[in-house]
Amino acid sequence: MKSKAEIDKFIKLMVQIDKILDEFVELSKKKPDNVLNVFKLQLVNTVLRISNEILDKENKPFPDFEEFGDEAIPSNSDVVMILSQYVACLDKFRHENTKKNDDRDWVWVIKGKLSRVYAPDPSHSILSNR
Amino acid sequence: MVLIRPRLTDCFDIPICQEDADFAIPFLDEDIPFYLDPFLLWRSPSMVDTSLHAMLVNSFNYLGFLVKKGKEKTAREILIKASECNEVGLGFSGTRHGHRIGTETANEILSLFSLILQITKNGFTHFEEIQLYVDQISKDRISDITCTYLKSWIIDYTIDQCKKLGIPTFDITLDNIYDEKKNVFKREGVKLPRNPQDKRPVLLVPKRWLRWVPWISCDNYIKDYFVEKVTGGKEKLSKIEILNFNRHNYGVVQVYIKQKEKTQSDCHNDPLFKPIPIISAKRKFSSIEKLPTGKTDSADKKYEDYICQLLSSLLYPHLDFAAEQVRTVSGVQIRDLIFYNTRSEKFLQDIHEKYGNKQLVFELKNVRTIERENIAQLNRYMANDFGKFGILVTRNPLSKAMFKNTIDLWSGQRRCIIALTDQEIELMVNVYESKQRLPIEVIKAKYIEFSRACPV
Repeated sequence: MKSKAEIDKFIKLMVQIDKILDEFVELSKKKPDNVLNVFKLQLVNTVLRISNEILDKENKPFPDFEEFGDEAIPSNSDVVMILSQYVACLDKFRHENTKKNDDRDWVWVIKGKLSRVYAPDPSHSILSNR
Repeated sequence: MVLIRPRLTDCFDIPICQEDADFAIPFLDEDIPFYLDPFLLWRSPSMVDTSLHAMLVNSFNYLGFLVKKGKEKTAREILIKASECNEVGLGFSGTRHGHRIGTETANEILSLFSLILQITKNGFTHFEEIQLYVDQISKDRISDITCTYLKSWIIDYTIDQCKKLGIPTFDITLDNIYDEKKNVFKREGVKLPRNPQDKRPVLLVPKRWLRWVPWISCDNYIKDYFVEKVTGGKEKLSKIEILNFNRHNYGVVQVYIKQKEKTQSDCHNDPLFKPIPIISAKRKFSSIEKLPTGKTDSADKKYEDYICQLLSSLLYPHLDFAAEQVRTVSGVQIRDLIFYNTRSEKFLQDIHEKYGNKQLVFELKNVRTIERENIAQLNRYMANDFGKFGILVTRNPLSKAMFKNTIDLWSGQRRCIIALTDQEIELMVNVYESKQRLPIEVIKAKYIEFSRACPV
């Protein structure tokens, strides 16, 4: 992580992407081939953009995919597939950026150094049980 | 100009789709198969419409006044003149030129004012009732008489719409404009749009007044009322016998009229185009999926029929359907669908600007693989107002070689041919069902995919 602000951004993103994925999983169960309207597509792209800002090239799930184009017509199942890959990569990113300090508490790593910002135990997922 | 089924707006490059226009966009070479139903003016919540209806009925009843005063000749001349309105272009004429009623029919109509006591005393409330007394009077005559009596208002409406949309108008003298104050036809110079082909004036009619069949009609009277309520299905009478019966049983006719007035909330204008329901679209696609490629058991004809019905509905209202046509090239029949480029979406505006398309050609090919010759055929056909953008509707995606062929065509001639396959049609049907996006966006996505593959 680069700063505390980025940590806050990351935590907020994880909550949002998790909830959005939940919604799309439910939609996909009923109608996997239904397409997204423009509003939902914009929301999904917003979340993907923020994810791409945080994840570097090595950590992104797909090197050739950044977000859905304006002309794209993805289905619910397409979005579930993409978002679940991003969620997995973001979780891995979290693992790599949290370490135990001398007091055996989990903290975030900022610019390669242990910070004083406490982090949740990476073995406990902060995501929904799916 | 080689536009297929040209419309007034296309000729003057006015990009408007029928859905957005307040009026029925007239064709230049043929009539619009709809009729002005005066009942829609009567039942309208608009005071303008109801006032026009009152004026219409008063003008018609003035004929009865003339008959009472012994001026049958004048009445007959007015009625004959009123019986045709070519400027409006409604009906089933393939040429936009109809014919007036003859003296005999005019006399028959005028005789109602002396034969039927109640009409002599009170006139008509719904003049379209004359269909129930006089033979040879049907929806087209009712529509034309209404148009003629309302011509002055229709002229003002046309001028207003032309101003709004930028349709050019020209100085034209019309000699059959009805003056409802003096109850005569007058000659007047007005500014109206005209048919660029034959220079005849064109009048625009509000969509909200149009129906396939008038609410009060002879066929409806016979089928839904007379047979059931009057004869009880026991007697089978000819139309002439029924009309004669009506003339001597005014009360029976009035019961029907009252019934139609009571059910007025069911009377609406008919949409100029009605897309197929979602379930029908899904069934048609399901039938397409099951069709083999090629011509076995007329699979090609069936494919073309289903695609025609599907695409015209899926792309409505963003693309107005113009025509399907069959042309023969080297002994092979090729079926195309032609759509007007209404430029209702930015992507369609781009197609118009970059490729000059006033109309879009969709060439239908029920083949397993598209060959070089298929692309060449469509390419040769794309000319003039068909522009340099065309669509092949086929079963399977283009092979790498054929896709490269289309890219080379763009590189060499700046012509764009994209393919819509079963996959895209299925997506369009799904989008049509979900109503979350527009089926035309599927074509847009294909176009963007093609553009990205083109060399810079």
